[in-house]
Amino acid sequence: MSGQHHPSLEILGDYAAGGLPEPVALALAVHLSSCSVCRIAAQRLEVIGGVVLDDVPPAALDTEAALDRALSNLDDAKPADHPSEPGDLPHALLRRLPGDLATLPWRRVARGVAEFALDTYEAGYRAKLLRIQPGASVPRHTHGGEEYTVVLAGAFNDSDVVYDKGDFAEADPTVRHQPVATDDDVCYCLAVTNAPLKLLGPIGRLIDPLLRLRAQH
Amino acid sequence: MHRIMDHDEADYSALIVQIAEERDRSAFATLFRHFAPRIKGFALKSVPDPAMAEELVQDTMLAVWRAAPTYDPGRASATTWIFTICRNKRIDLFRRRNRPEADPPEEGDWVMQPTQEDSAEISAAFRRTRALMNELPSEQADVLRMSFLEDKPHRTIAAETGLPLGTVKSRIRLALATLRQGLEQ
Repeated sequence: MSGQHHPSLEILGDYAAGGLPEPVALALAVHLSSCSVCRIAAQRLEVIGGVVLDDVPPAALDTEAALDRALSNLDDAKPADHPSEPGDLPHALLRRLPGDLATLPWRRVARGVAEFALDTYEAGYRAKLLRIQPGASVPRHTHGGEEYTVVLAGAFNDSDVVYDKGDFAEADPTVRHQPVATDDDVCYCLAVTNAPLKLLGPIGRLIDPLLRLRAQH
Repeated sequence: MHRIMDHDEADYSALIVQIAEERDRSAFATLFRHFAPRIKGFALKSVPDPAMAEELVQDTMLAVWRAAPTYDPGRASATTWIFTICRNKRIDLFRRRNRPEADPPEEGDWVMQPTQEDSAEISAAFRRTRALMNELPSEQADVLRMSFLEDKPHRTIAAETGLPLGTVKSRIRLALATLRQGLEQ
């Protein structure tokens, strides 16, 4: 299955290169798990890494000693399987969660909106899952930095553009928006940010200090 | 500049298949002698610590041995595949974190059985990528190579080169767009 909304070429390139901050790489891995178009694009970009590795000047190495060490560690271990049933969350995300979407300790942040913060290992980055009830919306906001969102289930509408399962959205300080879950299903997303959200509008400004959306992010 | 010949790439692919099918230690040794000094050179671009670099050699080559059964010569050349393993192990080792990896595709999604023709196409794509990279303006090629060589986000490359972040990003974007366009032709 391939969705309609994909990461930019630049982000895909940085994913292929291995330079993306871990939480953003997680969002990419979730997207690639269901998007064959981007998966193939990423594979093409990985060839750049192959050329770079091939061109790197070989370093001085006691190759035979290193080989002996490697040979002594060889075993018949098989690569770990990624147990995954169709419809499950991608493995890269699942291994970071204490339970499935239904049993996570969700924290309410606005009417119809709850979140679960993931541990992140990258200074300055936040990653969280959002659960938005059908028809509910995230308070209108803009961003202090970049935001990467990938839809895990359901769909949301942002300025008349619908993001379905697997779709990837990028937003930055130029974007002011109020994503709304579609009426059909609960929408679950993974959202990664590298700066606090800024709530907009009179109500937003009023409740901003109360909302842990901002304190946490 | 060092260049692998076509038949070498195919030979290395065949060695990985041999490891997968026969757990062939002499095939592993041949592969190791070629790739280990390159992986160490690659690692030294991120960490100027020879002991750490040699750890990356060990981690990568052990993972090559284990993951050989998942290698598909119709999907990636040997060097590209080993690059991806090395990149992931570098993240695991230097950042002490596992790289988030996409799930393998489901049956009938996009996986195709490799054929001889696919293998030839893979080699051709490798050569074509190299040719396109060599044709890039050096200001673009340099930052593109840095982004693949070093375990660093664009922000850090900008700080190191003294270039504005926007310049680094636009050079990489231009380079990637040129490569994509060239590869689709």
